Amino acid sequence: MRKLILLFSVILLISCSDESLDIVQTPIDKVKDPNADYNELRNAYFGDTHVHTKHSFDAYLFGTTGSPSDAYRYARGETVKHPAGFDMKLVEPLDFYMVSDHGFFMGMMEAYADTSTEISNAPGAEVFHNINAPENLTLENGATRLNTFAQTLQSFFLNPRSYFDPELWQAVLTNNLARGLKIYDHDVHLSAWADVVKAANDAYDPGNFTTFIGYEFTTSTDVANENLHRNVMFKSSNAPKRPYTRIDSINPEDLWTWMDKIREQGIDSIAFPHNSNGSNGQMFEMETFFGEPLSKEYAALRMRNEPIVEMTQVKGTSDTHPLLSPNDEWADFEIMEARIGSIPPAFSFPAGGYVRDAYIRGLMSNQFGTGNPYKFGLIGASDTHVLGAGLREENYWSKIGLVDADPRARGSVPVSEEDRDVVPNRGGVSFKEFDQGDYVIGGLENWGASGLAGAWAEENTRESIFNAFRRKETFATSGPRILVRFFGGFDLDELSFNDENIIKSAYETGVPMGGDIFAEETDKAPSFLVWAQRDVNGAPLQRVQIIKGSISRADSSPTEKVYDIACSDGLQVDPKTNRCPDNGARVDIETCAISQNVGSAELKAIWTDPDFNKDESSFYYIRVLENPTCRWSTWDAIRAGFKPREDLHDTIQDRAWSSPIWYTPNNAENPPPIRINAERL
Amino acid sequence: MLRKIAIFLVIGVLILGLDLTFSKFKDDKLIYVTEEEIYSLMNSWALQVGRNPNPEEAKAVIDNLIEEEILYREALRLGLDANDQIIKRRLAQKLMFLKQESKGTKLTELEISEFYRNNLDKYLIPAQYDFTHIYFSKEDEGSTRAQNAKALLDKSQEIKGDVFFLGKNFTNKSSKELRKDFGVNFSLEFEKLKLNEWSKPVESTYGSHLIKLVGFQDARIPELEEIKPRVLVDLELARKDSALSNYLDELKEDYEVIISRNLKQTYNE
Repeated sequence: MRKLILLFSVILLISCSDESLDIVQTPIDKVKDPNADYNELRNAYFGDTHVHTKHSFDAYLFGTTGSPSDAYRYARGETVKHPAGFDMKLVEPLDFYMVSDHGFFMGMMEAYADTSTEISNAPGAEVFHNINAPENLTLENGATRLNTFAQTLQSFFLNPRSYFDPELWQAVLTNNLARGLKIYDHDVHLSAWADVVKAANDAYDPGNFTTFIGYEFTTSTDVANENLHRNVMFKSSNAPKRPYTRIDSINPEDLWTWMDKIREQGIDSIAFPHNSNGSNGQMFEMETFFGEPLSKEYAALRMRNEPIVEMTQVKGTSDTHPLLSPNDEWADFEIMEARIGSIPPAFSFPAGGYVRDAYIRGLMSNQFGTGNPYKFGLIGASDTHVLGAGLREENYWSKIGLVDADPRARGSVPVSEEDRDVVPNRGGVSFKEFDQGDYVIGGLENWGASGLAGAWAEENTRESIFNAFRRKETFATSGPRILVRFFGGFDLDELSFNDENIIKSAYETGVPMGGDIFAEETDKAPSFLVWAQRDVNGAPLQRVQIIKGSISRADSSPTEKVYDIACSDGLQVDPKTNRCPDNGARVDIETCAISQNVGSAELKAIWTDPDFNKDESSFYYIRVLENPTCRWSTWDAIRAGFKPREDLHDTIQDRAWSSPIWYTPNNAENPPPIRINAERL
Repeated sequence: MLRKIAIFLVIGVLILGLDLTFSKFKDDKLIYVTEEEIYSLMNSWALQVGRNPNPEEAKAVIDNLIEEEILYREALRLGLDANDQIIKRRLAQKLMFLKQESKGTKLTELEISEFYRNNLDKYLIPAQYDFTHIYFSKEDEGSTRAQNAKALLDKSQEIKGDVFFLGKNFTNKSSKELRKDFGVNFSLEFEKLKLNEWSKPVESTYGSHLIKLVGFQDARIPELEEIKPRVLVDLELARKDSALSNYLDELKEDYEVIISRNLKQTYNE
């Protein structure tokens, strides 16, 4: 008898496998549209890789009932409904799109709300019953939603099953902790993920419109719940049977190891972190998740799996912080200083949370001999929780559905005493009195109408765009479709913008954004070719800048410098200040009209680094600035008959950032002989 | 016969008497609070406050529920629900939702092809153009240079423009793509271009262009088989909407609508 039990257990153990490592084969036999473009010099494609639908527990709670298919229809230019009932439509369709619902509890919220499901009878689920029935989709209702959201996270979700429940044993045997939770229904979860996969494969139109299978790995530190969210994007039409989520592990290193494992099975994927600005400095730390020192192995693991960072989105922009870059006049751009998910908002420590600082840290780590874990390219995305983002200042609906659909709830328009119920009660909402009345403060007013990813790819297919991400030949914008070409090399100064083949030559003699240049025998400084073109639906361009960061050989102390390299309207850069003169572009705050005939349709330059030091590790990236326009909060205010709120920027300079090009000197990995700059660390 | 009527009346009076005696305890004056209701209330309370209510608080929560129910019923009795815009809208929404959700039968091939035929313009693939262009940047007096260049070109002389960001030769560009890449004005000009002839200067967002159309494909409608998955999705959606509008149409037949004459006049003016 004992033998029999043993045999039975062994069979059981063998027969149960880890479903996150099971690949479901869903091949698609779509051929590329024969009329679609192929360009060996690459086209710029624009897309949003951070989109939530009803399958995300929070999006559903915010009133979103649209499916991944609906999200893809929105991306192709069709009209879909916002939870508050108004129409959402893009000015121009996008080239690629990825639905990235939260992996953990994917699909569960809809099942709690639907009273016909078994899981809706789970203890505690009744607060979600019929939450998105039409009579409950009201602005007034938005107020209580966020509160429910905040409370559920703690009290409701993490309730384990009893030892006698067979599901608990399934959890152990299939290495899937989530199944051990009382309010988790494995079938519901699998079917939601299958829907995400199917919608992406169905909507894929090679040559014209690319979709990616993806999801969000929504994790945080175990110290103070600091944001470590990242999105995972798969290359193929096949995907694992279930996503690897924060219930499996909260350590991103485990995610990367999992990605390595499924890559061995032929499923390539990359991840990109977001909202490093709200990570309290944890996203780009100088140590590992468990506080171990960095190492070459860590750097290789991270870079193999995370070659990209989403550096701008609705919850703020993570280029740099005014405290980190006091000499950058444009650093104060859509700064969002609250830790993600903190209620009430807690200040997020800037160092370690912004990409420019991370690039410096990466160079340092490399110089110390522990590799560079922060050599990533840049994209922007929206993080919309309502299927799609407006992406334009004048067409902004923020991103959390019923909670912030009303301008008064997002702090751009004052709230009268009687209308307090339109304002979400985020665990004690605060109001501040200004001349025009009381405004909501504490977060949403600092969110922005960002952003988009640009990718330089041969054609609009999964393979080609995924490869662009892998090469880091990507750029980020705060919403507009600004195009930017960027090449670096030692012979680019010989190229001419009068040459029809300049881009071909640039690829031959230099490297594109995301690439590396290495020390040459000569003392010649590297040159950079930059070409930016405005969005036909955006504002004209004001200037192009190169941002350079480097560390000294002696003590690893960082230097950071912003050079204007091309000015609009034929103006010239002042070589002393490295600044363009004012081009005179202004905004009429009463009407949001902008100056006519000021600014440029395109800006270009070949620039040679005047401060080049052959021995210093450096990075260079591009920032393109548009002429100023009204910020979304100003549009909200004037539409409601108010003046812009006085403590917010009333105008904005929308912009694009390229991925960097890195310069590596000889013996870059030899640690400097003397002290490191302690203040910096 | 009379006897039968008498029995009928006696029984009727008895029933009436019973009804009058007990009716005040029935339905409209009885409030029964179920266990589930209390459980759900306590749970929401705990979720919002972060702990379970103490007996006093629990009593207050239940009292609230009871008072709300009493007020609601009295309001109904007084007819306060009539002509209330919010109540009207909510009830209408509720019914709308129910009607949209009622699922139909499986789609047949006939339905699919019929839907495809009725929506051909939705699936139209727009005309596509192959062209080359000579570009004169706005940054450097583009329109004047383009005028001069056009004159030289007409005399068959070599001319040279500026290098354009997106390149020189384009194939299979639809008017939508042209609008996105060059601006509205530029895309509209293409309908007027003649094959293999240099155009007069055309303005884009970026400057002036001389364009030579070297080929084009007329707009066409794809076969059903080519786009079937898309048609299926569209049909499902259309069905959802039509379930509601069919229902409304049926109902509308039973209604007569009279619009105030004064209002009509205001509109006409």
